Amino acid sequence: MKRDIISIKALVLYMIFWIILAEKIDFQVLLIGLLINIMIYLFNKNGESSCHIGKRYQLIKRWKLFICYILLLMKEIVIASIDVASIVLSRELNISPRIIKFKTRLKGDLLKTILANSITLTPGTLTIEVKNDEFTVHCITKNQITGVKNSKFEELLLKIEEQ
Amino acid sequence: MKTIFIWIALSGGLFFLLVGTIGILRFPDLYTRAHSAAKCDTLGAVLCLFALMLYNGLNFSSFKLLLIIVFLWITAPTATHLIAKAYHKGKIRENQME
Repeated sequence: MKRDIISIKALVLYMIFWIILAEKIDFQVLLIGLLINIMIYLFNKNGESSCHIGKRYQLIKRWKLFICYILLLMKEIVIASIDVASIVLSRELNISPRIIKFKTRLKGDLLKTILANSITLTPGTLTIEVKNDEFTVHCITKNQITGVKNSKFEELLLKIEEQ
Repeated sequence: MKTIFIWIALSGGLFFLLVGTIGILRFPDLYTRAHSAAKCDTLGAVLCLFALMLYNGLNFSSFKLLLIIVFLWITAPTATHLIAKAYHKGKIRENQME
């Protein structure tokens, strides 16, 4: 019974995607879309990628915190971009590139991926490797090291994980 | 009023793309150049697309542009991460060979 609910959620997601691509809503488009989406769902159901799909839908339920996270990410990206732009445009390049390692307290694979991706998205820091719970990060200046080691992203993601 | 916002977003996006290109030319090694290239994608391209969304108003084309932004934000850091990882592993192997 629970599996059916999950499949309906996935189908709704696929349908929204299909309608955006099709650019109009009428009977023909919806019927063809429904057929294709059911085929895609059946094709993906047995794949390895969907084995933890139930857990992922549990995470999507905390959408309020995710919206907070996206806003925080945008703010950090704008601040860091202006920082890096001022470094690039300064006459002498004040950079001290270095590679640091730190351990994260996150457990889920999806949340670790989100953290690694947002570290790379923020200009000035770049995730090189993630192994179990150790992140290898490349920083462009000294100031960013403290920003990476106790980051706001990780705190918010921990909150999402705990709930 | 709308035109002013579009103007600001578009010129901001072009400014960050320009800075990213200058960065690629000026920085010394691969890691720092990858930083610069990633910055182009995240803020420059997204601001340009956002300006196009404002210009279009609320219709299906804007939703398509929003989808492009979402996928750009997922795929661009992944690609940068893989390039850096490949370089890092190659360097470790070179050190072991010596």
